[in-house]
This record gives sequence, structure tokens and C-alpha cells, in this order.
Amino acid sequence: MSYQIDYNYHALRVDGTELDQLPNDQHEDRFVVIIETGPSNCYGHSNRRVRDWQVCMIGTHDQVIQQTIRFAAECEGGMLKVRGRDCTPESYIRRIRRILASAEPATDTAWHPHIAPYTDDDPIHTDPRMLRPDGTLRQTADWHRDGLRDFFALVDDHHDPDTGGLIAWTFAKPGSRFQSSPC
Amino acid sequence: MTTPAAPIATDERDRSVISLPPQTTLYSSDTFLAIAFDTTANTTLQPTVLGPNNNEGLPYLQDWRLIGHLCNRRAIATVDGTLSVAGKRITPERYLKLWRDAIANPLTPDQFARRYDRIPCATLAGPLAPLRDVTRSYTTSPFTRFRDFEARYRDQMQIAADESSFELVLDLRQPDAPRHAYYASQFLVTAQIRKLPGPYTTSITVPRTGQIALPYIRNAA
Repeated sequence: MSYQIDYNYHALRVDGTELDQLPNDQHEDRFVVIIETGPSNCYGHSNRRVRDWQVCMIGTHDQVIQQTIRFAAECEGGMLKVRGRDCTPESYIRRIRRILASAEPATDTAWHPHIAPYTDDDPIHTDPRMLRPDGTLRQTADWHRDGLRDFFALVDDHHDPDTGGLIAWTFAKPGSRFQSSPC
Repeated sequence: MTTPAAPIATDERDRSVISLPPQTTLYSSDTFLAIAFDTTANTTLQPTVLGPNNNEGLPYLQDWRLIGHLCNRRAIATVDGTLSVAGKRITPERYLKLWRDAIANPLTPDQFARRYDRIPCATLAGPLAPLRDVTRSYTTSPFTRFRDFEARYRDQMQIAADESSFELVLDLRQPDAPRHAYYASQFLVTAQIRKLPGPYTTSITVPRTGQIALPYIRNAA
């Protein structure tokens, strides 16, 4: 049976003081966790396992940890391994805590907002925060130019604190710094 | 956008893992029941049976499934303090460690009953007629059809006067009860999947000793 392998991790920190005060927070920093990951049973032309960089967790520190725990559940049954080795959920959580503690400042080349929900009927499509003043859909450059306040407000609204559920890669993508090497 | 209701803070005061006898299920690995004892602002100490316990089969869990279930639910709630342990905040890592210790030191159903004055029970209920000819899902089942299970346990069932429905509460302290309850629940799950007239109930409860009449207990502790 195949499993998922995590190869490398990066954490980016968005300074909370740059976000303007969101409801119910005190300029809390936001984090973007980018992981190079791929399935165990897919190989490229060079016979190397395929892998790709993905934004796997995003939000405040607590939100990221909650999302992490949801992934960590897969470690216990062997469906998620770190660099091909077995890993307990506790160890996985600690690993993410460590990279959050050493997160580097987020830059435009490291990540960008990119909201792409899976379903056409996702209510986010009609959220007014998705729109420019002229009514057209916000693009990536708009989020960076206008400040990330609305973007992370959307993340807050879609993060489920009961289940840690947030499909982070439908909210953001790694930047040009993170290019997967050919397989 | 409407503001979701604030989650109810839960304090986990105790936990217990019950080991079920070998070959209780079709899997060779050890199988457990997991019970947390919680208080909330609205309730006194109450047992919570962990796992899928809402008529989707019985929550018999291997150790790795229990850990996975904890990660998908309760461990997440420790992060923001929605779930505390003995009145204190706890990290998800330490919380999982508590349950690993419980898994490493499980109780038998009988030991659980003596310690907590509660009996682990499996409850099965539903319409009889649609169930009778449902066949087993697994060849390891001791009952080929539900009617075979009914023949074995009919004297312990509560059956409606018109024979339309039944309810059976099995005391899991009895040696064969965990296994029989497991395979019987599979008939009810199959009936649900096939959309046979229901509803069907499969659940684990831990009522207090004396709260429930279990006529088939011959040598109660």
C-alpha cells in the first residue's frame, strides 16, 4: 500500500503588525508551512519518486498546530512518513513546532495567496472579500498590494478549530523559490 | 457570515482502555474500547466512548486507529484549551502520551466494571424482518445469517409485541459477547448500506451497574 512521504519543510512568518488588526486577535503573526512531499509509489523518468512543494498549513501558530495534528494522525498508521521513515504523531507535531520557531520572514518569492477551492459551490466564491472594489475577482497581486488582512481573515473563517480542517493548498501556493527538481 | 457557536470546554478527568478478547474481530491485532471521562460546564462526570459510535458499527479500535481518532478530534482541542486534562492545559503531544499509557495498561471488561462501577455494553436494535436473511460480511463470523444470531440471543432480546423490532443489550464481560456483538453489528451495518427499512442502532455504552437489567448475567461480579 502506498503512503505519503515528506522530504523537506519550510516555515514562513508574516509579521502580525503588518496585517492591521483582524477581529479577535492582537496582531498575531501568521505562518505558512511549505512541505516538499509526494506519494511513495509514483516515480519519474529518472526512477526517482515524484515530489512537489505544497503549502500544507497556514494561519496563526495555533491554527497551524491544529492542522498539523490532522496530518499527524496519518503517521500512526504508517500512511505518512518523514523522509521514508516511520514517525509518531507526536514527533511530527514537534517537528512542525521546531520549524515554526525558526520561521523565516515571508517574501513574495516564497509564497503567494492563491485561492482555488475544490468545488464551484464553495461559499468562498461569493465572499465579498474575494472581490476588488470594481467587483472583479481579486488576483494574487491584489492580495499583496492591498495587504493580507482580508486574506488571513478568510483563512480564519475557513479554519475549523474542532477538526483542524483547512485545505491550505487551496489558499496559497509556494513561490518561485520552491521549484521541485525534475524526477 | 454567521458567527459559529463557541465550543464547549471539556475537562477530561480520566480515561480507560478496555482490551477485548483475541479474535474479537476479523483482524488479528488487539482491539480495544476507549472511554474518556469528561466534565463540562453543563454536565457532571460523564463517560464518552471514543470512536465512530453513531450507528456505523461498533467502535472497536486497534491502537493505531485510536491514536488516529484522538489526533482527528480531542488532541486538536487541546491546542486552544477547549479540551483540558484534570483542569489544566496540555499539549497534544502530552495528551497522546496519556492515552498511549492507557493503551499499554488496558483493563478487561470485568476489571473496568469493578473499577468504575459501569458495565461495557453493546446495544443493537432495529427492525427484525428485513434483517433476518442478511448474510454475513465476513467468513470469520460465527453467524451465517442474522437469523442465526437471533436464534442464539432471542431469549435476551427485547422484542416488540408485533415482532417488528428488537433491542439487545449485550454485557461485554461475557466471554463471547464482544465477538458476537461485533459480527452482529455487521448485519445491521449491511442493512443500512443496502437501505433496508430501519432505523438500526449499533453502539457501545457504559451504564452504571444497576442502571440496566441484564438478565443473562449469571455470575455477575
